[in-house]
Amino acid sequence: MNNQFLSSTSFSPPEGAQVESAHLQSAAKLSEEIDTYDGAHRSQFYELGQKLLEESMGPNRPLISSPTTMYELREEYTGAPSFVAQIDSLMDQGYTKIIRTKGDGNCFYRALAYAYLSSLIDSPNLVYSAKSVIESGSRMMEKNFMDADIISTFCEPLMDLVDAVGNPDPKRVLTHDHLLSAFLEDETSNCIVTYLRLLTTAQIQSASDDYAGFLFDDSGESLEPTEFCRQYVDPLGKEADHVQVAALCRALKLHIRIAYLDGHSPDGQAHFQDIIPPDDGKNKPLILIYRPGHYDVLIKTN
Amino acid sequence: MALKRINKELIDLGRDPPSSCSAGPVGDNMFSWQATIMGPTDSPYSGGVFFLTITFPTDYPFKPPKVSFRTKIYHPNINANGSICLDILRDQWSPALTISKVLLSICSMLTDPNPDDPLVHDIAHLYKTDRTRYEATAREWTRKYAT
Repeated sequence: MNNQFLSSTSFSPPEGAQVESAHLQSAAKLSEEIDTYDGAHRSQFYELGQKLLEESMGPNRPLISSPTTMYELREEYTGAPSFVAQIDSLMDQGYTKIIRTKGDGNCFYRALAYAYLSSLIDSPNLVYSAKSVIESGSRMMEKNFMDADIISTFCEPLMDLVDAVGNPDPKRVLTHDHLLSAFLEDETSNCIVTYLRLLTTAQIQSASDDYAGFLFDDSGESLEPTEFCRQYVDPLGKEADHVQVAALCRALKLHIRIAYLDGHSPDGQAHFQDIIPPDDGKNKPLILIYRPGHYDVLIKTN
Repeated sequence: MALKRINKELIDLGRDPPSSCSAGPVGDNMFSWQATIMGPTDSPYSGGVFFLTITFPTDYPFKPPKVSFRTKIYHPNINANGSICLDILRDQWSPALTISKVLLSICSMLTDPNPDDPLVHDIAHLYKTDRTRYEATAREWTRKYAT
């Protein structure tokens, strides 16, 4: 079934190709308008970014795609010079590929999980500490009154992949291709996303004093940690904001570096933000690329 | 995964049943359940027994179960078809939630309706403006249809 899915997405022509090119033209026009208007408002950049993002992240995309070159992304932004400049700045620094995640509101969690497991494949010596971090995460969830059996169902697929990285049998060791196939399976992929969401909730609730001042609903009203997590962390499809990103990095002890591709940079560079947890293990950062409303995995070639 | 999870929930319900609710499969199909809720004593539904239908989607628990009332009930968040307006049955569903938690949420909704997110506007309006009349009608319907 998985293979079928793969072939159907790689060989059929992109659905709604004409609609997409129409979008591109209108986005290009919008970009022109913005370029000729000196005091362009942030919301216009946002609007432009959203148009381009929507067309590259449609509902028919797979949960995750194999690495594509930054040239491909650059092509999609032809009509938007401010984005192209930022993409060029990333390519100049050696960021040559991206792994795209579906724009289904789970992109941060899925991209992070993929980048995390991918980094373990590259550094299998970290498997042992990764396992202990995940195990202590599960304990933190249980302390927050989550059902141990339910936690373990969601944890299992993640743990299986981590174990496979450390498999002493070279024939059965996890490769990047296996990882990609696993993340294309709905159940595996969504279990991992769910697990990371519940871990984020457990982290926010366990250290609620640290997060209390940053928990708001859509209208800007302050929320109690439990209610915030119920509304904005636990349900699938709810996008991760800064609080969720910070909490999850802390729970997994991960240093994350996020490249911002927002078409809004005075010097044309894509800027980076580092999220470093208090007890970061000083490992290489996981690199994600953020376009307003969407996260993908960014790959640097050495 | 769905079936394993549904089985687990059934075992848990048997082991530690929530007060005033019960639920289980109707026949051999584990994806089709029936539930009962006793009207909470501190509500106008007190004394009534309400039947509900639960249908699990094949990708449960990633998608919420479909839950609806089979017993007629007078409530701002439940319509004539038995559809329930409850956020955890829609976009606030989390895969960590269970049928037991859903039923408890429905129970608390019977005690505390949410007139600001109504499914039946007339009932919500009455609930806000004339609580006594709302309670009288709810009690009347409970007596007529749920006992």
